[in-house]
Formats: sequence, C-alpha cells, structure tokens
Amino acid sequence: MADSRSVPTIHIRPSRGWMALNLREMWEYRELLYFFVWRNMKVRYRQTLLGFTWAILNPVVNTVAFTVIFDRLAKLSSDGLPSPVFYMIGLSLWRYFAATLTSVSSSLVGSANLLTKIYFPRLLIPLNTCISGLAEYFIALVILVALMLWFHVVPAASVVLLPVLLLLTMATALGVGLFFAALNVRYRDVGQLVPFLTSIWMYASVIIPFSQIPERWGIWRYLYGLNPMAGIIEGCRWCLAHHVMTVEKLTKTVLSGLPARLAESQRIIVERLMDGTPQIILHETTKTPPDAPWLLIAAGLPFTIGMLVFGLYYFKRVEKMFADIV
Amino acid sequence: MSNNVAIRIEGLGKRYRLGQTVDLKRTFRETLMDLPRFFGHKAARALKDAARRTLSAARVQELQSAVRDHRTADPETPPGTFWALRDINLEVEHGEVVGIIGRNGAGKSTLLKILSRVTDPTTGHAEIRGRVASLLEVGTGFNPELTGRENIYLNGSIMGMKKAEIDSRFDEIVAFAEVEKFLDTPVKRYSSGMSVRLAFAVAAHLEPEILIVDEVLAVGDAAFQRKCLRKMDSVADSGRTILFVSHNMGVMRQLCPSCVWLDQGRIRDIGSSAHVVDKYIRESGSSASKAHCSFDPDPDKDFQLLSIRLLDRNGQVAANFDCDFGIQIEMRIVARRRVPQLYAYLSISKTDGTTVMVSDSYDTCPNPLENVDGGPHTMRVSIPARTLGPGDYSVYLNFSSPAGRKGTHVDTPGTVCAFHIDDVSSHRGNERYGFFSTLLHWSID
Repeated sequence: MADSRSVPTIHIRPSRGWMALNLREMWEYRELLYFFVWRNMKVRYRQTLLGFTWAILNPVVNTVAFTVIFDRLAKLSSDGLPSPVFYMIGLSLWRYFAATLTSVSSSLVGSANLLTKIYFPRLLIPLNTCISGLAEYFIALVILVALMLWFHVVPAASVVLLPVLLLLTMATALGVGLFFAALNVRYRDVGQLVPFLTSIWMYASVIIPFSQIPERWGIWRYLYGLNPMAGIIEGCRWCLAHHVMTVEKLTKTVLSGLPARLAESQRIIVERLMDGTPQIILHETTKTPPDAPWLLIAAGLPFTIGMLVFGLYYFKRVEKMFADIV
Repeated sequence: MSNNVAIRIEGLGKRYRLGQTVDLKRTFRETLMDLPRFFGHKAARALKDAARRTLSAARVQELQSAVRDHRTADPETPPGTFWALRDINLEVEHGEVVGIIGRNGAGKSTLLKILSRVTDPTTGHAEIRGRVASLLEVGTGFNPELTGRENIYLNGSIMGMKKAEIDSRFDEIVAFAEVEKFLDTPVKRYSSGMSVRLAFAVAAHLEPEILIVDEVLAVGDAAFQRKCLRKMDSVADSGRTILFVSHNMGVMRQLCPSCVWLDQGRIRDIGSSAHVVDKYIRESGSSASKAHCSFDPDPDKDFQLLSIRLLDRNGQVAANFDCDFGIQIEMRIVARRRVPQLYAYLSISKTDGTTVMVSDSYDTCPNPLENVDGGPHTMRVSIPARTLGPGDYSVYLNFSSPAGRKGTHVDTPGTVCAFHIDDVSSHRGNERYGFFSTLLHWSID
C-alpha cells in the first residue's frame, strides 16, 4: 500500500477570495518558467534578417534621437553629463520597464490557449515576460558601457547599486503589470491604454534631471519622486556616471588638453582670456555633482511596494476566473 | 480518504454566466418590477393597472414575463446563468479506467477542466491523489516558430515533465511520432498530420499516476489512431488511473471497463461500459438522423408516397439500430390511378454518397406494386440483420414505371430518411469498417 504521505493530494474547491501566494508551488514549476523564458528568447528574432542586432540598434537610435531633440534643439540640461550618456542611461532602463509593463499587461490574454487547457501557477506568465526582457536590457547596458568609455566617464564602486535599482524597476513593472494583466482579461481596453500610458510616463521620468526642478520649491521637489521611475533613473545616473565626476577630476582632464569633439560634447565652453590664451572651463564648474538621490528613490517606494502588493493580490483573486472569461 | 481512491468527487457543480457580462440594466429593471410584491397584493395590482394604462401591451408583456422568470426560476439559478455540471458524485479507484460519455454540451469537458484545475467549481469539491496529467488538447503551447525538437521540450514541460524526463524519453517520442527527419524544421512547416503526431507523441509519454484525456484520439489518420489506441491501452495496463472522454463508442468499450454517462450536467448512469454505452446509443441519435418523413397529398400524382417510417425490432420508430436486428421500413402509399409496371426503387448510401445497397420491388416475386390501386396501403420492406455494417446511412426512394402516364417518374420522394447502425454485440464493434456486418465463421483444426 502506498504511503499516503508520499503521494500529493490535490484539493479542488470553489475559491473564496484571497488565495495564498503559494511560493512552494512556484518553485516546483521553476523548470517551466525556464522553458517559457527560453521560448521567448528563441522566438524573438527567429526569421529576422538583422536578428538580435535589433537589440543594439534600438537603444542607439533612440539615444541619438533624444540627444538631437532634447539636447541640441531644446537645449535641456543634461546635468553635467555628456548628453548621449545622460539619455542612454535613462532610455535603456526605461525601454526595459516599458516593454515589460506592456507585455506583462497583455501576457494573460496572449496566453489564452494555455490558460484554458492546462494547469500551472498563472503567475508564471507575467514572470516569464519580466525575465525575458532582461536580455535586451543587458545588451543595452553593454552599449552604454561602450558609450561611457568613449566619453571617459568611468563608473566607480557605486555601480553595485544598479542591481538594486533594476530590482525596483522589475517590482514596479510587475506590480502595475499584474494589475493590468488581470484587469485586461475582463476589460480589453486596458491593453489599449498601456502603450499610451507608458509614453506619457516616459516624459515624466527620463528627460528631466532632478537638479532642474526649482530649488525654491523646497521639500515639494520630492513629489517628483512619487513617480518611482523618476527616482530610479535618477539613481541610475548617479551610480553609473555622476558619482565619479567630481569637478576636480574633470578639470584635471580638461587642463591636460582635450580633443575638440570631447570638448563639445561635454559642453565645455572655451573662453578666451583677455590676453587671448584659450582657457577651457567646464560648463558647470560651479556646481558640485548631485548627491545620491536617496530621498527621491524613497519617495517612489510606497508606490512600488504598494502596487506590487496590490497587483499580486488582485491577480490572485481573479486567477481562478481567467479560464472562464479570457 | 481510503488509500485506494484516486479521485473522489462530491457534489461538484459548475455554473456559467450566459452572454458577455452581466446586463446591469436588465437585472436592475427586474428588481424594480419585483418590488411591489413587498408592499402586498393591492399595491402590486395598482401598479400593474397603472403600467397597463401607460405602457403599450407589448411592453407590459415583456415586464411581466421578466418578473415571472425572475420569481419562478430556481433561486440557485439566477437569470442569465446555467449549470454546466450539477451534483456530480464519483469515486475512481487507483488503476481504474473510466470512460465518460454524453452528448455535446453534457458537461464532459467542463468536468475534465475542473479536475485539471483549469477552472474552479462553483459548488462541491474534489480530491485527487497522485500526479495528474491532462490531455485536453494536443499541442498545447506548441509554438509554430520553434523546431520540432524545441517544441518537444516546450510542450513536454508544459504538460508537466521535467527536463530530465524529456531527455530520457526523447528518442521514444520521436520514434512514435515518426518525424526523425523533420526535427529541426519549424513546426509551422509541418503538415497537420505531423504536428498532431508529434503532439500526441509527447503526451503519450507522460507518466503520471492519473491521466485525464478529452476526445483527443479523434485526430490523425486511421493508422495513427490505431497506434494511439494501442499506446492508451498499454498506459491503462500499466495500472494508471485514466479518465477518458470520447464519442467513439467502439473505443470506449475497448478501453474502459466502466463508464459514466453525463446528460445535461448530471450523471445519468454509471456502470459497465457494455451496459451504459448500449443504453446511450439507444437513447441518443445523431442530429442527422431522421426516422420518419411525410408528404402532403398531391392529387396530381397517380401514385404517391404519403409517409415513411423506420422501425426497430419492437415496432418503434427509431433512428439508431443495432447490427444484430433488422431495420423495418414502413411506407404509407396511395394509388389514385392504376399505374402499370410500377415499381419502387430503394437505395441506401453512406453519408459520403457511396451507394451501399440497392433494391427494387421486383426483388420480390410478384412485384407487389404491379397492380396496386386505391389506398392508402402500407408497404413494408426490411433490411435483414447482420447485413449493413456500422455507420451512418441515408435512404433514397423512387417510384417509377416505364409505362407511366406522365413519363417514367411517378413519384420521387428522394432522400427521405437517415439512420445510424451500431455494432454492439460483436467483439469488433464499431470498428467493423466496410459495408457488411456479416459474421464470418472461422474454424481451425
């Protein structure tokens, strides 16, 4: 007689409201998560001519566009950084966030055929989308590093903060995405709303450095941080590029002579002294590089955590009905 | 729960909502119209009179019926919902192979979906002991862009196999599906037969304790179906518990010793397959079957078929027959004028148009129609037992005469009836392909 404890017993009952998160079951299905991610990677660039070079092309083209429009034409501040670097840091992370949010929101509807035929923890669907997007982010990071080296911006140890920020991004995307995904199953307009939402959201997060918000607003400046992505991207810029750009280091480089293009990209104004000798002055020598934007990031945490908890709750609540209404 | 029971179902029910979403306006209106009841009969009557005076008759009818529906309806079944499954109680022991039969819409797939945890029950509960694999559809999760090899892994993983298991059974799966040469081609290039074979091959190599299969054997060509059946057989023999849904009664009898008959969401019968399948066949009919036909009298016709009925051995009108007993065709005819050399022509064809049997009234000597006049008469012809093989047939009738007043065709009713024959008693059952169901005599010495 088989030992009754060794055989798993499944109980099937009408669901009553809140369902436990059941992480143990998710762990049992970890291989399936791996296969989903593997499938996404494989399928992404199948039968395309350029293959995964699209992953390189996209961030590069975007950054160029942003630099031209916001730096050259609109002359927006790039906080002391070379503007391509400034925008690329923001864009690479933003692309991951927006892509994850959009695909998570429509992931359930897109997997309708699976939902109605087979059982597995439904959380695996948004999760695998979250993870699949990381590949493109890492490629963008590689390009970013190349770009930074080109502009002689070398990150310091503060770069260890990046994984934390990445995790916060994932949490935010997942939280909002889960809520939208569950909602989208019933009301399909949500799927239409998300791309629109992300493009507006982008303007509030990537373009404006925190230092540009008027000082006289005082503590109210940190309202900008209620948008968690603003704080996160600010944090990214800080940990990757700003932290090292002390004025001194740069002036040393400046004084030792710079190629013309570098001078231009860093907005170094060449002044001519009275006697005609050129002296190169860093555009923002009077400013110290910004402090770590801890407060700003903290301002965004309530939203991230709140949304993640709420998103998970709503998702689990509606989970059992997916097969019936998708 | 006793250790030997693999699946126990108690009071299981599933209620679905009809239509898209709740029509808020309608339910609100219904609630409003029901309100007068609370204030007693006088108020209700007063309101009704007022309504009748102000609204059109049609509108009043509509509101009244809405209230009626709402009031008299089963309190557990609010308007706009229906029970796909109700009061299901079942116990399946380890190693049992149970078939589930029923018409379309009886709730078979819903039951399987609930047991596969794809959807939640509304009432009741079920307990399952052991690892479950569900085959509700073949090729779940197949991605057309991936190659056959990649899809084996993906599909296997979705169905619940660990990567190590897939690795160890990979060669068997490929051999079963017969797609060795095409393993590295994207599945979108496969023929439909190939993708079905591949999907079923993966599914066939699952090794769960409990297997739930929903009508998936109805795909592929005959050779493949035989292969699948043999594989299912071996799975059954290996002591696993199987829940099997099919419309193929022959397969049902072959694979499942016991059977559950679901009708409109409830269990109609449980018992040995032979018994339950027999009852099911006798009761239900295919939608194309038509056991009788009648025609309006046309005085212009010298001779006319007024009605035709198919009768079983008990003289009852039926559209489903058993190979072991004959089919009686009973016709009511009228001969308003004598038609010399009149004869009846009967042709029985399969649903694809192949003529299977032809007979005319000259087969009987003398031709009973030769000198018929007056009427109505009842004419009978029977198809003997153990003649036609199992399947679906249609009956074509024609009355002609070379010396008719208005040409050869006297009355052409055409295709008048359709019926279905099952072979329930022989070992081969409905797998007896071909035209005949004659039992041959085999001997050995």
